[in-house]
Amino acid sequence: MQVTKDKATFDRLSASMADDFYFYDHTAGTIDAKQEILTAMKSRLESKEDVARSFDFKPSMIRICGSTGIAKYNITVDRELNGKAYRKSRVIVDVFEKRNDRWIWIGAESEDIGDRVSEEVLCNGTICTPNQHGFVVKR
Amino acid sequence: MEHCFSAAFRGSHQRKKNLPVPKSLKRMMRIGPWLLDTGANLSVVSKSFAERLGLKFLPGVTQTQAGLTGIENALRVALLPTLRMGGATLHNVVVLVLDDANLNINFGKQAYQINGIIGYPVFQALRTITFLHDGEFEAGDEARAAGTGARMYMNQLTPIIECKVEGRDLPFSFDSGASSTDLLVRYYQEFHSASKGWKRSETMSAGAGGVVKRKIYIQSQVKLGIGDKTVTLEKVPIYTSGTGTDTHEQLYGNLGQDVVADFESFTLDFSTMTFSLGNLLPPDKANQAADMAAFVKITKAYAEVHMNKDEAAIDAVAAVMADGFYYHDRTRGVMGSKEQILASIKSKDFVTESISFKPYIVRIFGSTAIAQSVNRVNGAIGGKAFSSPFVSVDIFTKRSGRWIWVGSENDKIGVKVSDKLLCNGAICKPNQAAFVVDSSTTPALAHEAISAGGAADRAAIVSIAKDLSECK
Repeated sequence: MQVTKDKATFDRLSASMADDFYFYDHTAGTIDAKQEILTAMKSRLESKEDVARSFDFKPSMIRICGSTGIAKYNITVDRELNGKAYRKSRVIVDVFEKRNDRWIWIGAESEDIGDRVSEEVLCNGTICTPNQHGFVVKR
Repeated sequence: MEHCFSAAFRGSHQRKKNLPVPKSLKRMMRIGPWLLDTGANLSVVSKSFAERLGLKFLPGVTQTQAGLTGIENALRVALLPTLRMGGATLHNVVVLVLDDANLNINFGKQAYQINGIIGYPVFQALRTITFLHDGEFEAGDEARAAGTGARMYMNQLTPIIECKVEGRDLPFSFDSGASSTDLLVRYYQEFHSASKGWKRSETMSAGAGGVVKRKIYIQSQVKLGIGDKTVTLEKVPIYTSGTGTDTHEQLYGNLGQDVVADFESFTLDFSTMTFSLGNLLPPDKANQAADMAAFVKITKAYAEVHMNKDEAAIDAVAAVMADGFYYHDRTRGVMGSKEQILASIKSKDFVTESISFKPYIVRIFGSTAIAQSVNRVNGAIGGKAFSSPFVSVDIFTKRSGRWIWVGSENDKIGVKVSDKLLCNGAICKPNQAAFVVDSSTTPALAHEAISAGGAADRAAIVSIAKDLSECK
């Protein structure tokens, strides 16, 4: 049993992502752009060593605030990597924006349940370059 | 010893209170950020920064007294043998060297450490300096030609700019560190009789002596002629009483960043003693700058109400929060609504001493924006002190041209993420059924069962999540 690796589904997903989509993994402390995510997915599509068995979505919350949508859910992934099974539970927040009556996936934030959140962000390029200045507010 | 800025006569500037980090300076100099301050009478460096520069002090030490404390501080002078700013080379630049603590600036509730300040004599020597909207600057003969400038003169070491208001040339100070323009008592006195449409209001000023309320008026629109440009400002506060400084008595107002925000550049020309504005920014850039300013304002206001617990300020923060706003502390697994968050801010058990933000990222996607920050909160809950670093993700949506804060996700750094969700009320009630994606299961999307509107929207979003899981 393996979750489908259908190319049409992949293309549909890609089309639903904004060009400036980002994925922030709080546990790993990484921020990836759309192309980096798609490249990683493609690599998994072609891999026979990395097989996803199932994705178990817990009851979730979707909030629609005007043209902004926020999906919050926990997911447990059963995967087989190089013949070794492992299970990982993650907290995920996906953010969407409605453009021309169509929902576009603009960002995702995720972290492993039971793991520590990283302070460092490992990233190259403008996707993770701060554009606001730090400040201190004191009593 | 030479300290190179950048080629092409450009560098980056810091505005006094907003402190953009001048990346190109950091990169080219490898010695840290400087503040460009046209109001500084001499260039200044902190002691630790002087040591990093390898500066040698000139003979002699004098003492200064620092304000109310009366503590004497050693004041030394050093020469920077060569200061190169692109194509310009300045020799023997005098710098004052102060203890680091003397350059730790605290504007009431905001504080930061200054390493170095390039002061007025350097600008005067360069003759012309142009500050660009993107945070860089040009100086000297290669500074960009601006339009016709307004007359500028120095009041001691503060640039005073003559702006045309109602056909009259009136003096204003200019502080690029101030976020917005204020009109002062002299303006109030001169224009009060014709003050149709001014609205009464009050403002809060916080300082070491506590919070002071001051009565002000708000003028819905003010047009300022600056050289060949006209700047239209909205909702400008007019102060009806002074702050006790002589400078304010002579001036009609203080120009802030809102005056220059919509322009590609502004130029202080010390050779012709003029101040001029560059071309207007394209609308999309101008809008983005306004959006960024709105987020910073919301973030700072939210931080400040934790400190002052002022009812009016909390109401102002509440006004930018969506009714369905949620707060999720993923470390504790606690989720709260707008009302719960506001109640916790007001609680006397929750005392916040300081909140510091590292440089952070705001992403704007059309009508949605996401701010990612790392911040540290120092305070006490129920008398128990804490100091915690957080990763925060704040989500905003634009409604009727106004940014509304819809959600906040927070994790304590270095602490395990909880799989629990402790919460009361509808704010944390799932509205989507669980489902499993595998090769034998058709995902059961239960959005049909949702009584509230927007089911089609939710279904579309679930569909994307389903696609994602099938791709992996």
